Amino acid sequence: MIFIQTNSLVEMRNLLQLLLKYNSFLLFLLLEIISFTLIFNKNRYQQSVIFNATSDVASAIYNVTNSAFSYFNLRNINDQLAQENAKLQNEIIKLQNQLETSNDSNYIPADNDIEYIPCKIINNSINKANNYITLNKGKRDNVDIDMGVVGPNGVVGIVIAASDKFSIVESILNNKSSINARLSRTNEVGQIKWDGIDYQYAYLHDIARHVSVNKGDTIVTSGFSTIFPKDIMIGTVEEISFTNDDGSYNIKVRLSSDLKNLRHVMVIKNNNAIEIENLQKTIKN
Amino acid sequence: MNKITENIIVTIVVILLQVLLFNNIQYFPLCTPYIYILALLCLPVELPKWAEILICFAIGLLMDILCQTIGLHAAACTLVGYLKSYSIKWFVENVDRVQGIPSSISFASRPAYIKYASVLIVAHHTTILFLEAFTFNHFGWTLLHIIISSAITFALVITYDFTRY
Repeated sequence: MIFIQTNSLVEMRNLLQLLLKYNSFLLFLLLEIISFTLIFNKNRYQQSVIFNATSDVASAIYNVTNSAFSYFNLRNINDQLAQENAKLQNEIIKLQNQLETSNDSNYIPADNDIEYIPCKIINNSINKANNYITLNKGKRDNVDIDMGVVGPNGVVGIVIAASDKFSIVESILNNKSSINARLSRTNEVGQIKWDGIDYQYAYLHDIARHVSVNKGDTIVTSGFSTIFPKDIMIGTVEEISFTNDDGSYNIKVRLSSDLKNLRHVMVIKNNNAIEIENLQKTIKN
Repeated sequence: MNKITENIIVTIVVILLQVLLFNNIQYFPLCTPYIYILALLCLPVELPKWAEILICFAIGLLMDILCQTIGLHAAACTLVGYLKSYSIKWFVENVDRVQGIPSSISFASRPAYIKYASVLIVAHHTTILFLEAFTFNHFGWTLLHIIISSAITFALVITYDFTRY
């Protein structure tokens, strides 16, 4: 009995000595493992928890600096707003015409399913492999996870985390993001993904080769999810090539929104989203 | 000035510069210098190794919070913290005489400091940019990115060292 005890004690001591000898290496290993699990954690929920926990600190800082630096961009923003105004004005005229020409009998009331929430960008990046945008509005202003974000010229991204006052958008320039898109001329549906190189271009996948695609064709949102409504501009076809592995095109898309110079965006709130998702869930179950 | 307060001030200034200035330079996509590595390079040599690694990890985690990347900077900084003492051992001739904040004065030679800084900067940038580009296959692009960004960081760090000491 005594022999066994001393033997195990010696082993314990050896182990302790080993630990002390390599303690810094073990600490290094432990911390690296922690960081790598953080990086490669694909769980969307856990990521959003971390984002929520950290976004308030970071956002508060960016908010201060943004209020100082936003003056330098006033000229561009004015131009953007003027353009958007003009577009809206045109839309109003078009709608007025439609109203006048339509009979009372086949008049369908406009749907109020979709609300736009105007937001300001307080932090943005375009030169990383995974780019995120921080907005100055959060749950308090009805911004929540899985809402689409559009700029004056088209799609920008999807909200992936929201705290009370701020929210974080997974921009279209993110290797995790993939947005349902549609070739507006042929109605063919595919996925928009970024390749991590140029912030002006993304790629449209899953378009079968028998479809005719021309340079300059417009690509819009498909409207098949509750995130983006139908027909929001994404970009235009810039270059068409073939992939070797499957029977689909590799279409280079020039993104219509200039993510580098973006300051103001709108979050799209679909009031029917929860109802639609619940309905779809009942079928799956 | 007290060495510790000096170190703390350098750390804060460099992190603020990184977050408020250098992270916002996006006019040239290949250029993302991470100059906050200066805070890691300036940790005094007297620190025990485990403290060095822990402090580096903490600074990396702080950068992760500020840059909204999860674990990326922490991984790279921990590596720098681990390699730091080895890199001093490899490149400085009279290791026993070195004390205080690593610089070309405390190393008593500029080439030694240049080697020390360049190895750690390249290790740091390579880790960050490769981990960030993990799902992409553009090896050449990433390599170019690493070279250009490291070169800019290196130039800034060396300029700081040469003007200061």
